[in-house]
Amino acid sequence: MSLDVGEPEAPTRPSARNWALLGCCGAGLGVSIYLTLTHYTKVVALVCSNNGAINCEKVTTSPQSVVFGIPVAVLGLLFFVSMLVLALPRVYQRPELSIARLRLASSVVGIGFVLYLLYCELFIIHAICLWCSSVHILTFIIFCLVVSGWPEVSRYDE
Amino acid sequence: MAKTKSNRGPASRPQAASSARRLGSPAQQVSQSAGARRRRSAATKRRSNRTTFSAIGIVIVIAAVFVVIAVTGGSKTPTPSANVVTSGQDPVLAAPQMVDPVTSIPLSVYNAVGVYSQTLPQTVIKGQTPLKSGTLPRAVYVGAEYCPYCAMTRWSLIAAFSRFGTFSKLKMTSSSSTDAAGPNIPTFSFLRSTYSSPYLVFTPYESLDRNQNALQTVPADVGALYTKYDGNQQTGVAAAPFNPTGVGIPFLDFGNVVVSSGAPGFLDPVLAALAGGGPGSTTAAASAIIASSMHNPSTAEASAIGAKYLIAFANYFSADICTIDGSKPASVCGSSGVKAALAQIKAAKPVG
Repeated sequence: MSLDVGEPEAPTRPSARNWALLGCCGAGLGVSIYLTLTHYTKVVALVCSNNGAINCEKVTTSPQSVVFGIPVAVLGLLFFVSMLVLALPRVYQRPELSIARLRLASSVVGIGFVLYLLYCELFIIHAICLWCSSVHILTFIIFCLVVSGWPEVSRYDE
Repeated sequence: MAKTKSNRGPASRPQAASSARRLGSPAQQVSQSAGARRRRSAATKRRSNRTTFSAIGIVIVIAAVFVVIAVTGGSKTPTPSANVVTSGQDPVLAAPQMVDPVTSIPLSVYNAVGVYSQTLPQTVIKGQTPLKSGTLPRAVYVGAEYCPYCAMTRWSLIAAFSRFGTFSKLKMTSSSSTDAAGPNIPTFSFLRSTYSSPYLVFTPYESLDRNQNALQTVPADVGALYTKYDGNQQTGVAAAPFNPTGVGIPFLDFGNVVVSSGAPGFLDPVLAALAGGGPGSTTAAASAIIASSMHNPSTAEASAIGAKYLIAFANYFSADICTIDGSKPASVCGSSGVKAALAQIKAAKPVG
């Protein structure tokens, strides 16, 4: 008689956490696409307050809106595209630990960048962009979902 | 041999009995192993939960610290009641009440004012080597703190350039107290300020202080631009065909594509309103009022100052920047106020 109760099997239906992750990635991707379009084209206008502390135009046209020559909106776009792929049920349920680690690392990088942008808004630009803040909040939620789900996925085999 | 026989005999039976008691029955073995695994799993889960909450908590704490410092730090900024204009050799930092409204004028205000039916106050030039700093286009300003026309122009310059980048350490001053054209006009100074932008480089030089003492040395390359596009300061001969008016300041060069000398005539109402110190009892108070008037030019106070003319001038400067930086960002260069100025730039006959 075997005493080994076996490793947990990956669920076949997306969990609530997986659905929440997908939703946040999708919403973040939508906002990132909008911010990228407003950055590059004249067709789409940035709909946002421009009074005092809430000033999207000041934030999105600041020097801090470009990092290593790449607009922050584009970096956000790349982040949410990659997180969306990693959150797809077929990918999310794969037992390879490397995928879970990649998802965790991406979310950590994402939240670190959010903290840097928050610092820039508060101490350098002295203005807040509401659209950017929505992306920041979505990134934070993604971070919480991934980190809180780590104990479960970390039991998967390589 | 007897010992051998006796070891395999009864001596082995107590060992078998003790090991049987230690291991228990097969069902008991399974139960004990499962229980140990549950305890280990629970301990692991508790550690994982602590790690999870710690990670999330660290992020929340860092963000909260940022917000608290930003909010409480703002309460320590100086009030606009002090009048601390000095000789100009070491002007004081401009207060947030002076800087923030000018650097965050709503897009709707810029668009509503447009160019206020003025004619292009600059010269478009052609056939010149683009003025760059590294890979970015460069804009140059040469002025002086005593100069009343520079004083007015700086309000529009700072408003415009703030749409493309960020100023730091702007100073507060006022123009010469003895200038007949317009004494004590509250204004900024670019002295020891910085400007950063992903779209262009802006290098301002305040050559003299408000008492006309030497302040900043204008570099030789900038001096050459001044001589070529503005004129000869010693002889007073304006640089033809680029400068249709007389030699003077402020001098502005946007990428060797658009240049200007002096301030346009449509700022004369502003000069009249601000001469003598402007609307406030102190320079700082007047500066705050001018700034808020530019932010909201629909008030009676703003009309008295002529804030719309300053905003129109800012739209022209914005268009100049759009002309040399590839029309970026689109939100600024595609706005109706800037497009009105761009239309005049495109319609102008380039000289050179």
